[in-house]
Amino acid sequence: MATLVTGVPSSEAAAAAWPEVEASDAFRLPLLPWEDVYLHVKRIDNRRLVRAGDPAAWRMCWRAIRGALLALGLLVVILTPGVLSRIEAHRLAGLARQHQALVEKRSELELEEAAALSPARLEQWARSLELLDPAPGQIHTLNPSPAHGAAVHARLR
Amino acid sequence: MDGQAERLRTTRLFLLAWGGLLWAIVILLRLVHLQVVRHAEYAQQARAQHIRNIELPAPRGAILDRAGRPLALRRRLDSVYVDPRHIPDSRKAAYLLAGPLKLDPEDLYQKLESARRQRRGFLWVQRRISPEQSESLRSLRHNWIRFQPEIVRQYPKGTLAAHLLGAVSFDQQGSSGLEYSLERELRGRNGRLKILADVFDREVTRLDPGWAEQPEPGANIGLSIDERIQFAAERELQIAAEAEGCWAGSVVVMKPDTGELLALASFPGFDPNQPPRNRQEAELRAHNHAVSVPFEPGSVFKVVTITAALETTNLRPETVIPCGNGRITLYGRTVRDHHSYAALPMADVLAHSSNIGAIQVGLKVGEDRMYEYVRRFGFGSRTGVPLPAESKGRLRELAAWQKTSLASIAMGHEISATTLQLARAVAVIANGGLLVKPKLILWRQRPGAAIQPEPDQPPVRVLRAETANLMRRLMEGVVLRGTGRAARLDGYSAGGKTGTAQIYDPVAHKYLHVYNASFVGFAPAVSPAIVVAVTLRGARHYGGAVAAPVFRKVAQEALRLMNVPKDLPESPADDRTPVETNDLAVADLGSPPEEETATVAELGDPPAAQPAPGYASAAVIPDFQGKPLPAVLRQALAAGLQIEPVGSGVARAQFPEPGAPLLPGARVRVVFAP
Repeated sequence: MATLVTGVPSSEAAAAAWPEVEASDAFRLPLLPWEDVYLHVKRIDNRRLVRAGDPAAWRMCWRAIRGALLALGLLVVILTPGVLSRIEAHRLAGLARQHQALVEKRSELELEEAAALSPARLEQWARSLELLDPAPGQIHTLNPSPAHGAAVHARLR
Repeated sequence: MDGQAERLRTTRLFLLAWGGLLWAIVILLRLVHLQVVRHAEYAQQARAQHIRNIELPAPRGAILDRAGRPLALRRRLDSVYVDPRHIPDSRKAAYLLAGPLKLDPEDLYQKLESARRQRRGFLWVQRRISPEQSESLRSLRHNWIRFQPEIVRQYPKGTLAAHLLGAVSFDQQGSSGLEYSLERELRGRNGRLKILADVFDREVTRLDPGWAEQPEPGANIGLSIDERIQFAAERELQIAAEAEGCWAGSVVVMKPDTGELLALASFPGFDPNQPPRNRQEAELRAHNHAVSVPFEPGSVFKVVTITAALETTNLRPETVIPCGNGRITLYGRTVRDHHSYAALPMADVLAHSSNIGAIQVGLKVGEDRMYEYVRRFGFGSRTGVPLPAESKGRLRELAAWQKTSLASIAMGHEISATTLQLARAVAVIANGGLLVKPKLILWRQRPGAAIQPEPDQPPVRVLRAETANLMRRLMEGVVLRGTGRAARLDGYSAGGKTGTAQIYDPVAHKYLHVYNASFVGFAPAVSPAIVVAVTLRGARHYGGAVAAPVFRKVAQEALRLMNVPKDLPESPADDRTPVETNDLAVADLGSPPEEETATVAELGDPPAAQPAPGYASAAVIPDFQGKPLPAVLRQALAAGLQIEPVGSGVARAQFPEPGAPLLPGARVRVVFAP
């Protein structure tokens, strides 16, 4: 579809097209610019048109695509190691921070464990739970044999 | 006219172009001057403004006991500081900081204002705050509150082994104990890091991809100490010292065969996690009584005298020694005994701790040989334990001995020794005659390296094995029937010697009626697993009454913890009531020495050795020679003897010899061979 200017009438024709008015009519409005232009829409049926092949354009197009892909590939090849190393560096830095935090946490826990297992504290707990050593008379050696002493001595040597 | 106007316009354009070019040249020259000529200077200034060198403190090595239980560790704490120039409102800041840190806000405000007036860019608010305080301040998210991490020493067991471990100063330098003597190994090497800082001195980035200089942590040290035995020693020492009103004391527990120290306790203790409150406390911390403070050992030293006699004279345990009814005068000096014995077998001289008997034995030994044996037992020289300020005691050179020195030294006067030296001397008897070097460090581990065991020092034989075994029997007699009955153990045989020496007041120039009470012993008596030395300074009772019970409790617990098999049936009967504990080695109480005119020769030798009348009619040790082990055991059982068998086959030798008097609790060492 296209829009065409169908005709540009001359000033004389325009004057003839309009009814004659008196020249003394000072209040008559002048024509607006292009007021006398008529637009006509004409439908063009180009369904039967066939695009003619342009091998040179196709070659240029593919060349451009190949060039762009090659440039992109080169860019990727060039930038990938840097990007990957940067990502790895961030990951390593994160792991290092995590490692440091874990080391500090372990130190804290070791410290707490050592304090919790101190003999003084264990003895305090033992006393509170009445876990006392048996008195000498409460211990009985089972199956004492006459040679027990000598055997023990021999084992100790 | 048109041509003239055109020329004028051209001239103006020409001048404008030259002006612009000149300006560009000036700018260019200035740039060259700044960026090329003065590049180094400005680069240096920029580095100084933006690059910070941060010192990374090396983590201090850990100290562990023989089972790997930590005794000293490190901990990361934050210290908080501010830049007063960047604080918007000092008063608000002071109140903001003072709350979590529990500081006086007005005091802090004054400090902030003072620092701001002096245009200082740094002010510590508080060092080494707790993690909770740090978290609380960090949550405020003010960029003028800054944190500096610091690695500090922590002693998780509190006062346990405080004198042994020592402490560190505020700047984490070892100030006493092992922390001081092993400072170079424990400290490690600090690292350094360069960072790019912004205008607020915050880290923007690290200039180096990693550590510029990585800190090298200090080595971990494994001690021979067993924290459970150490705790038992400290606990019993403290109980006894406080009950007796002593101002100091020490306990040493040692393995006699290797010299490994299982406990090294010193009273009074302290908490190394807290800084000393005053100068006196700082001095107290520096005195490890077990190794740094020698004292007159008193009767404990009679062990050396009797040993020297057994090795160098014809005196035997059954030899009767005249005791002068408790009084002897030497070169005008009178020495009194605590009991009036007319005569005692030498075994009983030790058991009852007779001063006169020990003097007589010492005179028989003689100065030269006595001096030699005192040195052989390690007195007068440092043991070499890696602790600072170890004392070698006091042993005068032989040439400096006075005429009465031999008598004094024979009963433990005119000589001073540390508790550690006493333990080492008794270890010689306990291990069969070998002088061992006390061993405190079992291993070292440098960062990233394997554990390196501490090499053993070969022991030196200083006594014959027979003499050492005989002394073990004699010292067992002290515990069974002498002044050391309070040291009897449940289920274990034990030997030892009590000691009580008056403390000399150098100001008043007289001996006080407070004592150095001591006990040195070993257990089990047949094959000693431990040697325990106990010293209480300022005791009001004798060593057999106050130090022997400490030995008993410490040895009992140590043997249990070490899983040493019992060698005696456990008896509920408490037969530890001392018949006598007075073993005071009193030399010339109250009277100054008179002019020494007599010589040793004038005194003459003590009477010749005679069999003890009391032992003449007693049972004697049977002859086991030529008999196999079962027969020997049956015969010994019938005689109430305990046998110490060595080797296999038939009995080839025995000690004591057949026919020797049978002392109560005696053991016979029988050597079997094919």
